[in-house]
Amino acid sequence: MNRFLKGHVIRNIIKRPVRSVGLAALVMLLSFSVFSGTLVIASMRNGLGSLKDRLGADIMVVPYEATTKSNLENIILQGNTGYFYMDSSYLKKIASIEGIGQISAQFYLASTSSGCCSVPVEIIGFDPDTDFTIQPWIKQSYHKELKELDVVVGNDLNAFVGDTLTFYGVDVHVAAKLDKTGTNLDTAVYTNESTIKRLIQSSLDKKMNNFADIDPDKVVSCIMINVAEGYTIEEVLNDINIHVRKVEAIKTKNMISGISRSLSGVSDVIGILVIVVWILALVIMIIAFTVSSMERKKEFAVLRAIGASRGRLAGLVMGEGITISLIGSLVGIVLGTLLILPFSNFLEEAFELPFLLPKITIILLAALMSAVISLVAGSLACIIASYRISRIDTGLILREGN
Amino acid sequence: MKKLCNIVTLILSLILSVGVMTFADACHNKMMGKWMHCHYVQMDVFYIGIGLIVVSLPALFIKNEKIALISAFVQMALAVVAILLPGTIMDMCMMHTMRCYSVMKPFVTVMGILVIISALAGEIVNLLGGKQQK
Repeated sequence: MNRFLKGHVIRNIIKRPVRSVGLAALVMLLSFSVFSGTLVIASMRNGLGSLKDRLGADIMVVPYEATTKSNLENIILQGNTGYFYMDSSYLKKIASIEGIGQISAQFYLASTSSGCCSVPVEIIGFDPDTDFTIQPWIKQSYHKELKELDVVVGNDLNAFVGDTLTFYGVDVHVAAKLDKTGTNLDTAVYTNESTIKRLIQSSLDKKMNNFADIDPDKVVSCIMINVAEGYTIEEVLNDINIHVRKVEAIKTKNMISGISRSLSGVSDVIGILVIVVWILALVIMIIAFTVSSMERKKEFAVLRAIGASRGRLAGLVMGEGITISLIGSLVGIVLGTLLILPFSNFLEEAFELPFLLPKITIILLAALMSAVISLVAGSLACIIASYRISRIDTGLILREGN
Repeated sequence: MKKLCNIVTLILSLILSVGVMTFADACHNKMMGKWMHCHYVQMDVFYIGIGLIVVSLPALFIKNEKIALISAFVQMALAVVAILLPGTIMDMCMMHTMRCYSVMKPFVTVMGILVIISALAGEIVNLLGGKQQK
């Protein structure tokens, strides 16, 4: 009898394809929404964490014009290309202020779009002796020191180790490709101070630089600062803004606060949607399982008449429900994987938020969690149907048929 | 069931061909009067999609098992080429955040995988059906 019931579960699913596919589609919707929602929220949180790590300084000091044109956030956070310069004497002036722990200058330059398929990229230069923001990141993928005309490229650039890139007529060598951050920092090129100064000089020689009268050896674009222990960021920030003219000190946390707010908004919306889909799917599944089981009262009555116990009948309904739920949840997870993983760059562009896929272990965990949630929802929906089926009056139903 | 798989493969091939020319195209505009590399990748994927449609059609009407088998293998081979074309066989744009990488390539990959699964499923069903008949 047991073997008969097991076979009956599979036969019932195959022989009623419309009902089975409909119920599996409901579970698939539930599992897809839970899996893809979890993955999207996790990727956004991962991206924001990655952005916080990469900015890596408490304070950024830029020329006042840069902040009034809202250039800075566009360049750092939106991936726009642009550059600005201030006199390098500001570096010494700011370094002498009390409360400065680490200080390093950075240099910006935008490449030109040349040829049919190249686009302008942001080139960021750093001082290898003092830098504390870019080098720790580079060290994750490249352990040697960058030589003259060596560059390191962001993960989203279609350039690879050993390639030669040309900026303003200067050939540079790609020494390493950085790990993905899921932010617009992935589309920039990084190099040391001497190389970027050479590129700036070349852009000036070719009259392709907006700042025609600068001396590359006497300018910097931005000063990155970490506050010393015992001082607060606000103290040092105010000190710079009060005592150093024509520059603006910005708290990097404030720069990403807008992103944090957007992220929190998107997370809330996705979370609510997942809960709504979960409740809707559960209610529809309960109705669908109950209605489809009640339509088969006569079939169950016959099974009772040939010796199947009430428990066996309940088991049959539960078996069908769990098998359908398992198939539906697996299809939902596969669908979520096919839509979220390959389209991660598109989602980053669409949400306009940092988007970094979590590690494979986290993805597998999310898949497992979604499968369990869908199976639990499917089982819950079956319990009511199987209880009602186990209570049917065999004699009455068989007589009704006559 | 085998016929259903053939119909699914045909629909997927149609979506692939129409998709790369419309909602999942590589670039919207010509840059500096020229098409970018990715446009030619898009056109090649489109021709592969047309090839897939042409190969899928006879499988719907001809019942010869050998022809069905060859057709399934050709479909799978074309799908693999379509998956490998953007970025692997042919170069595309500079940044992975550009449309060819963020939309066209994943779209072609997903559709290619689905075509392979569909063609493979059709052949497995066909083989199992053949064995049962014997």
